Amino acid sequence: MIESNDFPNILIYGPLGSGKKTRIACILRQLYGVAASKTKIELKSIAVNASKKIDVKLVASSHHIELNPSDHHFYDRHVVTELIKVTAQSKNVFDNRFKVIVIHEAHKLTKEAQQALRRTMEKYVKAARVILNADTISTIIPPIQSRSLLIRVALPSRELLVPYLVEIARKENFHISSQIAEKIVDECERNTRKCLLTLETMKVKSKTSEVPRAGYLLCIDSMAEKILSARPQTSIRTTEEIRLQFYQLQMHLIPIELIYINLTRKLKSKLNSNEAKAKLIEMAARYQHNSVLGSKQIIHFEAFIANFLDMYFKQSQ
Amino acid sequence: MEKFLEKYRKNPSVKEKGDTQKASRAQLDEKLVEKRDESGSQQTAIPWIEKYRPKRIEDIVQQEEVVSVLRKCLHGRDFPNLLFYGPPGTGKTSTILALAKQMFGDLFHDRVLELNASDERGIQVIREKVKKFAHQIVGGKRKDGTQCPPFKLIILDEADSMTHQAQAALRRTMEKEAASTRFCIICNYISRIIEPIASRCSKFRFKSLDSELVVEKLRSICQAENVLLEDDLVLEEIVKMSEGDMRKAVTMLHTAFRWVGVGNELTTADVSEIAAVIPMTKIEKVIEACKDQSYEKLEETITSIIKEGYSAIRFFNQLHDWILEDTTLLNDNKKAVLCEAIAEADYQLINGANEYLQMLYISSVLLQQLS
Repeated sequence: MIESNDFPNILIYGPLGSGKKTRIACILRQLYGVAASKTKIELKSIAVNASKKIDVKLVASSHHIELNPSDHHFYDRHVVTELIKVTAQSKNVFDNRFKVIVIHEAHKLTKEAQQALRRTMEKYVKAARVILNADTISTIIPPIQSRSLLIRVALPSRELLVPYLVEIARKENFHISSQIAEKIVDECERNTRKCLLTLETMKVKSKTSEVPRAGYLLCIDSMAEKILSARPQTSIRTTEEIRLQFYQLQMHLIPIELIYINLTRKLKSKLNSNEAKAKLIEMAARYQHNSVLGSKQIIHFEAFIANFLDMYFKQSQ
Repeated sequence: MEKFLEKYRKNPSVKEKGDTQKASRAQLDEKLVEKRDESGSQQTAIPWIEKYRPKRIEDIVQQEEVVSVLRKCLHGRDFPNLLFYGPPGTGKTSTILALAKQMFGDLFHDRVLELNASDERGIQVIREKVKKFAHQIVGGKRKDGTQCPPFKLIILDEADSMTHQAQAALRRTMEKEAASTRFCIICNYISRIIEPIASRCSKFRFKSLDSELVVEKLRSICQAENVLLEDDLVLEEIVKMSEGDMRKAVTMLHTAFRWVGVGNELTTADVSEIAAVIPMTKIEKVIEACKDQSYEKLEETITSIIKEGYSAIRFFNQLHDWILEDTTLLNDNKKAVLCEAIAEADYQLINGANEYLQMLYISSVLLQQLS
């Protein structure tokens, strides 16, 4: 496809650690050869309005630019309109090949920014192609989707990852058995990046026989245990303890989604009736959504805990 | 740590893409030189969607009302302000661009101002740029003396993303400059256009395209581009996926064609891979787990769907279709409950809620309804 010089706008999506960025790098390399890896970081300032300017960091080579407009939250529209359009409008002087604009974290773009992209993608298609890199296409507006080639990237399967990890270990001069490799893969949920980092941690700690469990997961596990062992009389104290742990997790910059998901999984496995499970899931979905909309996450999280405790006590009676 | 990552960036599954990835850098460069030589002689390829955009308003399919009105406009002088609305990919932008090209010919660049969401369109711009453009007076003759319409055209594409203030600033301008300027406002949802603007325009609704028409168009493209099809079902599949959106259909055909490469036949499986459709077997697995009343199975299937990279919105859409078509398992009340839950979850997803939790929630509702 790339060789045919007939190259569409691309929207590449898939879960974390499935190799989206790697694929983009491969595409660029194949398009432009080594020139694509000669990148430098540029700072460009854009006037948002009369009084405010923002600095946009972008990685650029002579053939492509990479940027992450969602860093600028609601100013991302300006980034799209100013920067991308200017790049797209100017043709490459040396040969008439197109440029590539890579937008990372496209799923975090605001609606306005996506609207702004729409026509740009069509109009300047001769001079520039856009590669969008998103975790999910749920938040990408349909007009953008219909203008680009959707490439779904699945996480690599276990069968692929296990020999891969063993191979790396061999290259790095240490040995792990395939059982351990399997464990790593399971623990990291097939996330390639996480697998590699875990592997590296294991090497640094020089403990190659056991797989370390991430600290935040342990913390969440203990949270779940506390919740499940709570009694109605001491429930207030339980919530307080959980609040402390929650703050700890937040201090380590653990995304709130992960806390909700893992806690829900843990609690669910301990519940007996399907009715209670359904309620728990409904609550988790609702409060996670609320915490996205709201500003203070702890409020929603505690509401979740309190609601769950209430239901849990009623159940056990 | 970074180094370690970078070193092994060569993801194993990338290898699936083909031998090219394995090619050493030297070979790669060689190839590139060759390619560059080629690209010098060969024209830069235009996506089909631009290549096959209707050039004349007569080519526009299905929107008979609009076309018949516009054709009259093309000959007579009575040209109203226009408001086009309708779902994406039904030919709104194509219509007005074709009309403008036909009407103005080589004067196109002087007489047409096209503003879309990618342009700054705040109240300031409306006040200055649009007003200034509208103020210019133009004659009814070309340089060579032939007739041409004595007005300019301002196209406001994707107007639903304009602020209300900006729209309000247009109101009086539209009336005052009526002698020399026509506006064409294009949007997906007419409800986003403020009433005073809507009432100043003649409104045209663009209908979703009939599948036969889209199939026909696709077939003509296939012939022009030498696309080989396994059978006629492929085109129908594409049309089904694109839901009356011509642009989506053409893009899909183009990408599918690139996917299989020149000389190979296009199959239905290729199409569904490109359309990011979740295989029905996966959805059935979820339903199966719900029937079994097993949360463990459910969690497992949903995790696998997420890990395969499918999106929650797609999942909801397909599950929704299934719910509506189902006649054996669910009665109307249960369907109502499910549809409401899906609507709610869809909204929450748009707000940025977590996909996994929402999918789990919807399937847990399904599980309860099936009990």
